Amino acid sequence: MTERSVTHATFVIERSYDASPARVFAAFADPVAKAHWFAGAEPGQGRYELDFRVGGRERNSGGEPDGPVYTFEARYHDIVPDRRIVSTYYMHVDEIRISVSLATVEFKPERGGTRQIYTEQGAFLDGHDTPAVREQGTRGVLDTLDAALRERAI
Amino acid sequence: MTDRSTQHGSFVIERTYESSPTEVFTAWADPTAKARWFVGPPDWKETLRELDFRVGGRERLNGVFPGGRTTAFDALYWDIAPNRRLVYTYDMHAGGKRISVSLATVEFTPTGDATRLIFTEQAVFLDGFDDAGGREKGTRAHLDRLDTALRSGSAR
Repeated sequence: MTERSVTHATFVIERSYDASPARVFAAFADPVAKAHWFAGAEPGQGRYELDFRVGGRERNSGGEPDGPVYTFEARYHDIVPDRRIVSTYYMHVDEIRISVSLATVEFKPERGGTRQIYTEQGAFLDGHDTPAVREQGTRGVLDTLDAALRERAI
Repeated sequence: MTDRSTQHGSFVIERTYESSPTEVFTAWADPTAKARWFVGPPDWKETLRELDFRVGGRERLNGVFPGGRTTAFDALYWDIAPNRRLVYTYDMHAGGKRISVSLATVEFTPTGDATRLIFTEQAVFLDGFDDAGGREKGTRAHLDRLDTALRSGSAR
């Protein structure tokens, strides 16, 4: 019998961006902008898809050549323009489901910029990943968003 | 500007049922069995029920209270390990408003001839319409009804 285990955890990451809430929100809502910082790819290449609406799906997959394929697939549950996005997603490594998460992103105006609060509540399955690794990975992705906003790349 | 707020919460409920993991799991997996215990309070009337129990499948349960207030549960199954584990997410709507988005994990473990069930819910409650305390109370009522259904043999 395969070992089955679940680790439940929550982490919160707060960031301030020198960009308006509308611009930061657009970085999440626009497929071209999001592909730039989140997927490192142009849309239409077949590995990144975003259907940004309630009930819509987002999908990204990739990895090193000859390495495992990482697949991210999300559903959007709640969208309040310039204010809030609630989504759920799973991560697979090859065919193994390693986690299911609930992610809330909130945007608040702050001194001409935006305060962003990212909250992830996750169920990490069968010891394939840990909350600490996920938090570290998410911080890295948000660093890329910050750089893209600063460079006006998006 | 409409007031927008979020409240994140989680709760865990543990129960022991005098039935095998297969029987308890079936009470979640089989649409007829689930309909015997997954219902609203006594004055609530069901208006729609669907269960497509597979990874990627959807479950819906809508109803209405005597005053006309509607409820809608809309779930998606993400992980199913037969007789062992379920992971699903769901939205709750009340009176046409989305009040929460949740991630629920149900684990089934054999203990002798019985089954230990661990229900974990991680949720975001939206705009102050509900909270973790209210949701936990409602979930405990569901798990009580599951116990009654299993004891009477009607959940199989």
